[in-house]
Amino acid sequence: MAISKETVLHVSRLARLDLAAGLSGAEAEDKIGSFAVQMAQIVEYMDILNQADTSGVAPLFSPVSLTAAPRQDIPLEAGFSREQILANAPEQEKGMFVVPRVLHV
Amino acid sequence: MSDLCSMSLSRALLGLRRREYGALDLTRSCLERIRATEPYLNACISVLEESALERAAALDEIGPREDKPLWGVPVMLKDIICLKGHPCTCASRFVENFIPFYDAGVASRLKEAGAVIVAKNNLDEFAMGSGTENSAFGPTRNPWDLARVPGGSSGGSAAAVAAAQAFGALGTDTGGSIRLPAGFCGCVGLKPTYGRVSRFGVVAFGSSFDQVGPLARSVEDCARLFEVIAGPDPRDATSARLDLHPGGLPEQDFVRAALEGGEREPQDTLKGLKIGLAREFWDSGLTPEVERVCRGLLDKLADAGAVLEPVSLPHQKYAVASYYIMSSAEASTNLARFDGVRYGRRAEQAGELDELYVASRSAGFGPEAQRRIMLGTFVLSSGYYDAYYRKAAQIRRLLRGDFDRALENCRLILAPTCTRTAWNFGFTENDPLLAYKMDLLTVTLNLVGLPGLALPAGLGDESRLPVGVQLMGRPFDEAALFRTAAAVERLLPPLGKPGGV
Amino acid sequence: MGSGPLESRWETVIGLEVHTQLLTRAKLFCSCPNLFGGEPNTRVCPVCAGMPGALPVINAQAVRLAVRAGLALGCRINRTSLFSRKSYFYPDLPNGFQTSQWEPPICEGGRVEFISGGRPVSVGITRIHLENDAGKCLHEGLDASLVDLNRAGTPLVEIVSEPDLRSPDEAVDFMRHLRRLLVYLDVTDGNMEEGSMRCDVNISLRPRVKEGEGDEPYGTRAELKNLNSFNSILDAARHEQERQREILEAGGKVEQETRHYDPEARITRGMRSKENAPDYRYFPCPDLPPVFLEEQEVEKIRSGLPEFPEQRRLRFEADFGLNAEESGILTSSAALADYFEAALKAGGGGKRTATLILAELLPECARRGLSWSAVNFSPERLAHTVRMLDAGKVSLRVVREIFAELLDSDLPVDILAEQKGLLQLSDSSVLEEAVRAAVEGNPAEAAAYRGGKTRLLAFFVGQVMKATRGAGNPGLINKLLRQYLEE
Repeated sequence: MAISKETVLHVSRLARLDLAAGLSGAEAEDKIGSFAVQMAQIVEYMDILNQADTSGVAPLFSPVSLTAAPRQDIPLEAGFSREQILANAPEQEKGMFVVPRVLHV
Repeated sequence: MSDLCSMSLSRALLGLRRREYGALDLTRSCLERIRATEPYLNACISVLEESALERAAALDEIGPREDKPLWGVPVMLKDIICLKGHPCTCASRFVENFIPFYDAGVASRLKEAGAVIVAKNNLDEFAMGSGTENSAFGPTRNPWDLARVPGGSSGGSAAAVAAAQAFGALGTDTGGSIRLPAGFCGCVGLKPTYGRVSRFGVVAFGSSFDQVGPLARSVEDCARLFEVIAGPDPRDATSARLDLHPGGLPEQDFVRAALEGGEREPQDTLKGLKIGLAREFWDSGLTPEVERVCRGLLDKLADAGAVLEPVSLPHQKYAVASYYIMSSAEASTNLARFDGVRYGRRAEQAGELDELYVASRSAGFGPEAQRRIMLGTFVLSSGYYDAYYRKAAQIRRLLRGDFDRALENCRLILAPTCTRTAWNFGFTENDPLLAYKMDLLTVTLNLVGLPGLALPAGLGDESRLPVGVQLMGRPFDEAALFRTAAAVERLLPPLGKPGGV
Repeated sequence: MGSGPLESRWETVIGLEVHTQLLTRAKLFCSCPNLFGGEPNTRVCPVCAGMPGALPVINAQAVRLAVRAGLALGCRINRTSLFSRKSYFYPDLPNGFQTSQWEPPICEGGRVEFISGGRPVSVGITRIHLENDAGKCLHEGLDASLVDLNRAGTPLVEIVSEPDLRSPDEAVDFMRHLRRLLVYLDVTDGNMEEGSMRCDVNISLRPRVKEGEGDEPYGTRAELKNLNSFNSILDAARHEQERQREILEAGGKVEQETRHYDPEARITRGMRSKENAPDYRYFPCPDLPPVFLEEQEVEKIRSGLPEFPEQRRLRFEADFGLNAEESGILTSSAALADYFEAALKAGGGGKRTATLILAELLPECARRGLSWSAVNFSPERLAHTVRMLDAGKVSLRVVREIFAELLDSDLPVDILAEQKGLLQLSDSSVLEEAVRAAVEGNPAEAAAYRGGKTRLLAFFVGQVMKATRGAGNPGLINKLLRQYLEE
């Protein structure tokens, strides 16, 4: 199927990506456009699946078998320290991660 | 001393136990080799010189231990496997400074077994690629020909092992990422049955596809590494409980299986062994030299008494499409945690939350990672799920059925690992679909979750580059792969040393 | 609340989505303790912080509690259920997706019945699914928020009802009923102030029809998000009902949207419309195998269910002559009802045991700010106290007086009373002397009693009690007084 620039923009918004980051105007347009073409080629190739008759076939989401036992309800008190949890944080304050102010909480 | 690193892992172990040399000697030899070859190869993202030397010295202090199957052996990890206290970059700008405070299940097992981890290997960003060209730290080069890719995504690990920077390495295989580079670099590599090896602490790409596996210079070496990392982990819900395996516990003694196959006459192992050949793999556009090398191996197998049987995998033609739909869908959500809040890259001066996400992610992810996220987001988005994701999952079931039927009659299926030998850098540039099609012969096993062992079948008569074949087996039947591969190894002349370094 | 016109022209239709935190010891997918609050980010691990490479493993007890809730709400338990990823970006959601259940959920198709406004109400339960809670965002200054992940990974069930509720009051009563039931079953602590239970209210209006004319189709609904008290549910639903009525009566159309209730301004505000509805991209979580439940496992949970509170409450009323309020308190939690019954088993009589719990134990604990289970008063000691009362060894008055000390001591009530000189006097000779003194000392009252003012008996009882410092056995005093005065 064809992939429009609008679809590409919609999907990139869902994925929190800016495909034309750092570009503007015509350059950005071109970048999005060529991405749409590339993606359309890939998706067109995926459409080969339409040739397969899968009626009545249960999907196999994972080859997992012989599944592992669930976790017992035993809390681990001596776990990880807050220092460890925060060690890689780009920004922290009062033992918490800092983000730009969020609305609707 | 500097040639110590060129020995096989198994020979190195023997020398360590006989105290011919110590862990420190081997570690120094590897570090020297790394220093000498890295300017050409770029197989390592970080070399853990200090911690490796410390660890080796500490091991020597105690002396060899029988119960530590990798005591004193320098090995490497693909840089997508967490090792406590050392950066785990995933070859991505996004997490180039991320330092995990926990060990992956397989890293713990290696440490427990006495191994010395000397470096973390280059890869395609988040393991997305087939050439190790998509690394934020530059491509890895193939030690057989520096103008060519080592295969991917575990290309750093395969190149390092082939160039004797270490005795073995762990890679990950989501769609061929161990077998393809093993084939291109002339190594032995195993993609285990899904669930055989813990995925805990391995940065996820396609969670229902990913498996960690070993790369080494011989079948026996590969088995030694695998025996250490195989087994359940309570922290991974998809790790298999083998006690539930129908027909009893599968064979677990992989080293013994490899030794059996290697010590006996090949005929003793191969006589009467039914090996399946699927037309869908063999008529897939192999280059003439790949075809010649592989057919040559088939002749030898037949001479040794193996029974080559045609089998059919009618849904193989849908494998690449199904694989890219499902693995990208999983990847798009697996990579959602990289948001610049708790770790990793964070864009400066993002005024609002969404700006922070978008700016951080757009700057942090390379083009291929972004493409997979886009593709995965698209196939899961409202209105497309049934046509793509669900449909692909149905094909996955059909493919598994194909394999189960084929493997009822045959113990193994044999196929090349790739239609061609290692390509030149830039070959797939600007044509992602061409790159995806390079995985044609490997993705199927990941869809169905079965084990596959890649080993060199010889050098192409035109390219003088390694040609790899893969043995595919029944669920949890890795022992049969090792036994057979060891026999195959004996049938073939040694590959020689890579000429590029 | 404008219920007049509402009654006549519009029918309100409400369905609830109730989020209930489960009373497990560890979180849903990791071994961090499941506790409220704490220093920020101190109950966090690579799994619940969404660190690279971390993987979830389901907590078996959370599954059991979800099944327990499902059985209590009359649901069918799916032998296989599946976790899915629900993708959206938010700083309190570490993985960029919530791990929830889409199809199939663990429980489906239940029904609950309860009383609201004196009438029985029956509400269908569409489904119950398991999912993990998010962390918390706290505001810091004007331009920053801080993220605490202690709550991230707390196990939740979401209970989705059919749109079977017909008024805000019914909605609140439904929530009360659910809370009572789930607390009683130890599925949740039900602490709404701490967010253990909260709900989304889906509300719409449609023209009311006469009985027997069939229903109008549902109107367009608004979803009121994240209400965490009975009052806010009632208020928000009433205001939204009114807002929609005004729109409809002005000939307008209600928009399908998500709205946020502002308890201070007491209005609901639009958050996002249907066009901007998020695309959650649900798909099966590849890290978690399907949840398989063996039939016998479900049966084991079913047989482990206690008597439901309503049944138990009615039984208490019938067997022990308790009123609805008394039996209601005693069955507010299974543990308290068990405690009551354990005391009965240890030999205490029903009514008296109930009285001691309701009038002494619970008020004293409330004064101390403690749970009744945290004080030193075993069912055996309670039963012993009741037996001492029954036997006339101590008086109720004395028990009241020394109850606090009783909780602080290990001594049985009779020994404690004896030490304090408060053991009940049942020695007739001692009491006879006090009775004689009381009558002789008040000749006028004695004459009046004998003249027919028998109500003065209470006066004499008081006099005798005073003389014996409250330790006299009131039954015996009554008897002796009557004998003496009527001789």
